[in-house]
Amino acid sequence: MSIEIKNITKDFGDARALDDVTLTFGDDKIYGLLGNNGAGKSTLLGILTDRLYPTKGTVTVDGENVANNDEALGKIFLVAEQNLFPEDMAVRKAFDAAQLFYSAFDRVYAETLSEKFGLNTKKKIKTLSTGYASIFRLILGLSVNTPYLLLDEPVLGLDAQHRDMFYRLLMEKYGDNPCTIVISTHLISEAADLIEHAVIIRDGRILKDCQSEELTADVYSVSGPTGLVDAYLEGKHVLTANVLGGLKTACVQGRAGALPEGLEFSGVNLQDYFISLMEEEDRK
Amino acid sequence: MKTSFKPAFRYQFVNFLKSAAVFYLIIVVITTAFLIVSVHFAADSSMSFTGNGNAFAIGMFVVAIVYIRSDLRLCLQFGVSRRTAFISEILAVLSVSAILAVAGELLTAITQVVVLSNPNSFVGDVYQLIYMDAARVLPTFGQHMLSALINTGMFFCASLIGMFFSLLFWRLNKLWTIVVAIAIPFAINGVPILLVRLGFNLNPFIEWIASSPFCFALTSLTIAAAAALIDWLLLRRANIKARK
Repeated sequence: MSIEIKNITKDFGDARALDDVTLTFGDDKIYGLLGNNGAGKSTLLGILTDRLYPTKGTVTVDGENVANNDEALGKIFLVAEQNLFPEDMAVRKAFDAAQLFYSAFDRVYAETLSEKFGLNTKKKIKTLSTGYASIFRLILGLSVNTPYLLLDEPVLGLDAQHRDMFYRLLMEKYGDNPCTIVISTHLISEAADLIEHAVIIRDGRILKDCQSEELTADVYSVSGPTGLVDAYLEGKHVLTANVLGGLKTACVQGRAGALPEGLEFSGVNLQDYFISLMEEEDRK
Repeated sequence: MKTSFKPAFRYQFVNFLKSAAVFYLIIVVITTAFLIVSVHFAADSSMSFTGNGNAFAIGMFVVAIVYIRSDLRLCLQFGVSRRTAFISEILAVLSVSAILAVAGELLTAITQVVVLSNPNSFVGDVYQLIYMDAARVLPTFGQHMLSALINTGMFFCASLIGMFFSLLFWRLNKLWTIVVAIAIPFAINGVPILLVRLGFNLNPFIEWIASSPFCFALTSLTIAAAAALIDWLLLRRANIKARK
């Protein structure tokens, strides 16, 4: 049970959005698809759902190619930034349509969530604010009950309270009914606790594809007087370093080992790791 | 293997049917206006009303332009493959074309009965103009059915051509959109003239169509089939994106 992406390349004219991407989203896990703007995250999710046609490569869902395959596509629901619903469609009508297409769509739950978020289901989708348009799509995503749920910038335009509410609902859903969830987000620190497995993509290529803990376990932060830190860093794989006054902080790949006097060590979270990795790539 | 044809067809069919119903009501209002005018003024001047079939065909052409993109988007959002979405769209259009043709025929028949007593008024449709030589007699039930058949073909053909333009402009970039938009009227007007200038005689083909309503229907269906094929070629690798 998995989504398998094999050697996917996608060109838009002369620009290569994805370059020979091979990846697997396995069973009942929460994945984080992380990357800078223009890294190819949305393009990848578009290809997984057959909205975009790959230049090369294949995508299979539970062994079935997604291209022109209702069975495979019916197992995936993409909550995208883009709105694919008709302009004049009301929220309630969209729920009707979802009920028509997905036998497992939980209408009662969708209505309950609408009330919880304060979403007026009589309103037309095009008249919703950015935040409520996101809420509408999230409610659909949480209610369709497909084995694979893809979330592309799910909390776009949401206030802090609604973002928190969404993360809790997502965890509740995952707890009650485990499924594969892929979250593509720029708000890494907020989603970090949810993400079990991180896929970091940059310029259309996969940079990292492993458990979040593995990513951060091998990275630590060291800070202290510049001279001491510089001496300590010699021969080590430094991802990033910042100097503020006489103090230097560096993010280092590897195991910390013995701790010299006068230096402070700490672990790094997923967001810090991501930033360090991107900065290192920028330098390359 | 699971297919999402049924929900896709149901969704698209209802959409097309609603739009066709609205268009039908407009034509009913226009027809009623014609009847009122003809009853009051036809004694002074002769009046004819023969535009139902063509009007419905134009209506279906426009509706198809609008719906093909939004239906595809919604289907892709709800896990329906583009192939299933396209096939169900075609069958939805064909079904609504047939319903509209029969409903249109009913309207024409009623109008013809109402104006029968007035020798200065004539109500007909494409069938009557071509195959009954615009005779001022009431068509039989069989003739109405043949008229519905050619209208079904005509509406279906117009819809698929509408889809073609919609999909074509969806795939083109800005420059080619302008080029094609300018080229289309030239092509529509210029190609027949060019063919005649090049010595092609189109009369035998026109006479063949006029020889039987089945020839007319067959021609419509052939054009529709060709349009459907091109539509699919345009669609199968298109990037399905949201409205801008």
